[in-house]
Amino acid sequence: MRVLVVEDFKTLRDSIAQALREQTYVVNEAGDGRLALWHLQSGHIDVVILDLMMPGVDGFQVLKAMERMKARPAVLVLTARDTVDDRVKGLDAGADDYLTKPFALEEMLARVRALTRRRYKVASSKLTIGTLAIDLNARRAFRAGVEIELSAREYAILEYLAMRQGEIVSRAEIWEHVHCDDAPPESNVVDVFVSLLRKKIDANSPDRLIHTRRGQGYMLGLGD
Amino acid sequence: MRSIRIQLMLWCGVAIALMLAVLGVSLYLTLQHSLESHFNASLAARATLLVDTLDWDPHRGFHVTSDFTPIPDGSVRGTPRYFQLWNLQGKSVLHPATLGQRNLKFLTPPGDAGRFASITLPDNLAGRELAIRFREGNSDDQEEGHHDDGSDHPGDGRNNRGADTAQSEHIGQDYILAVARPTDDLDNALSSIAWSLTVYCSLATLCSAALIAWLLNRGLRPVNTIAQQIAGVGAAHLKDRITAENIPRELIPIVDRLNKLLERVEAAVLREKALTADMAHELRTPLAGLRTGAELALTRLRTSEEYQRTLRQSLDISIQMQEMVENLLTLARLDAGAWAQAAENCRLDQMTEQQLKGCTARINSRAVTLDSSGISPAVVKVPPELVLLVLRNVLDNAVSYVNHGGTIRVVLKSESDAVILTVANTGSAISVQQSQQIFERFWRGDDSRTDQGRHSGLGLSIVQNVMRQIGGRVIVESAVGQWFTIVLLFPKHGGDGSHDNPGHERL
Repeated sequence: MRVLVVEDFKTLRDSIAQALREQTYVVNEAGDGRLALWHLQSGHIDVVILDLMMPGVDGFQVLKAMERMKARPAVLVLTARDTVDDRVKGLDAGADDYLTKPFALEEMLARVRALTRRRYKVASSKLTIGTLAIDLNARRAFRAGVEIELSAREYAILEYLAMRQGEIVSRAEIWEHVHCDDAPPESNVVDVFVSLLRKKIDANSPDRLIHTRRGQGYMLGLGD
Repeated sequence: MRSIRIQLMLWCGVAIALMLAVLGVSLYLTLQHSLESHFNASLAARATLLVDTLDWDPHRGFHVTSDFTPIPDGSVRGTPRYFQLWNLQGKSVLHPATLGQRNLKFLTPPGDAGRFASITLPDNLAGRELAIRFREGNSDDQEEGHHDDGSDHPGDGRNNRGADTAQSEHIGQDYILAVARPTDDLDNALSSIAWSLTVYCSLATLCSAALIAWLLNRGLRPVNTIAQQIAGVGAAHLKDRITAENIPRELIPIVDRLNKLLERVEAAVLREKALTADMAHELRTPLAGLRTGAELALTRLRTSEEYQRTLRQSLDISIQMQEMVENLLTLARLDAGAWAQAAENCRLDQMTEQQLKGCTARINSRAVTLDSSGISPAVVKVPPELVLLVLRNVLDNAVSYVNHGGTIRVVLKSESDAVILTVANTGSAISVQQSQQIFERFWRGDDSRTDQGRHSGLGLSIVQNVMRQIGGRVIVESAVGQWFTIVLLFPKHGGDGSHDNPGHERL
């Protein structure tokens, strides 16, 4: 999942970004609204963590610009303003959630998880595909009740595929949403990680869940 | 509390009552005068007629020859009931039986005019008496008048001889005739007029009072409407304005002023709100940085470098917050006027140079040229602590925002009525328009509100606040890429710190 952190206080921005990266999110950082809008143009951002009070282009202007976007990311507004008026104003402007500074890191991460699910229209934090079960909060996967040991990156790919289960997901999309050691998108790094993941998921099971669509990408789901 | 309504009602009521009373009294007096004149005239007419009908003969003396003949206007009829005749010595010569034992009042009229007097009549009625003087045989009878001058008179010849002497004594004698009439009719008429006037005037006063009350209620209705509207203006409805329709012309300036006042109150409240929001942002953001940094460090075991980095960041944030809190406290104390230090004679030149020395390291590290040759000796009478506050902030601002390799110029001049300190630095990033905002709290010229910079955006607010407090002024001139100049005007006299409280903007 790709998160854009927009915050003008660098120390705070760095801490948030690092916390997200440690949770295997792909993170972009922006110190002001202009840079945030530039990042948003890529169209691959899933969640935006947005400070409202910034010099120059402020959070409200960013929200306004996002209204016109096709695949609009979920927005978690981060602000020091805590009156009801401010919250209403922020939510009305298009924010999906609201967090007042200072906040607990755990809470922020939970809200980002919830917003990610909302972005992909996933209702529960427990996903089940056939005998595969994924606990999105605990970040663990089970096949027929047995936990599968996954690396952080493998889990990230599985989560992304599971969020879009039944859809064909291109390599480029996986590359955009899962941190891949800064390898270039044209490399086969995604294929390598997917084949590793497939081995662990489908190894001891008769029906395969990860399917390859030649020339298009991958799909997580039951049968064809 | 004085009520316009009650006062107006009271004064209008008093004025109308007074007016009606004056009108009533003058009407009464006019009527009284007219009735009394009429009464007097009728009394005089009776007296004149009576004189004509009086006759004298030596045997009977004076007597009334006949009853009065009715006069066409009917005003006088019959012999008067009360009359009496005296000679000049006051001896009663005709005393009619109607008087009984009593006499009328003996009056001596001046000359030919009659003399009136109010008397009590023999039957204890109130009455009015007229006394006139007449000459027998001269004034009442033409023939007798001729007789006075000549010696033979046919009437005399017919008279008894023995009476001759008496007659000759009688002719040409002056007598005084008094005629009286009861005044009860007149009194009754006057008292009934007085009564009617009193009743009508009172009724008119009452009616006017009611009318005034109604008119006042009607006239003061817009005031009530406005009062209700003002009562409805609360913190939640600051946008509301007084919009009473059909307000009288007299109230328009008041409503205008009130609306202007509301505008200013709204602006002040909005400014205060914005300031609170800014303050929340400025304090909570670094706090969030501290907390998130610490929580992140604690999520797992980390290398000592990572812990060191977190601690360094925390220390930086703490120092930054400390400075901001100090500045906020300074501003709060300035706002409250709680700076108790007394004014002293301060050598501004020495203090400036001392402060500049403290900045030497930072100036050198940025290869900045310092031009302090324009500092000449100057003394101002101000609280030293406040001056230090101003100097520190102004010089710090210049050192922080001068471009690398630029110039800082400090000039201190003592003029006749003020000491002028000019601090200028090159490489300004502040435009002419922005230079108006520069004194706003939390405003920063570098567009990096909370980024690691050590500036809270409060320094120049403090400078402006202090300069106002000591009765001085601060002026900023700036153009992007050119000189950024702050001019401080310290008053030479009267900087007693007792100026209007700068924190509370006048509404």
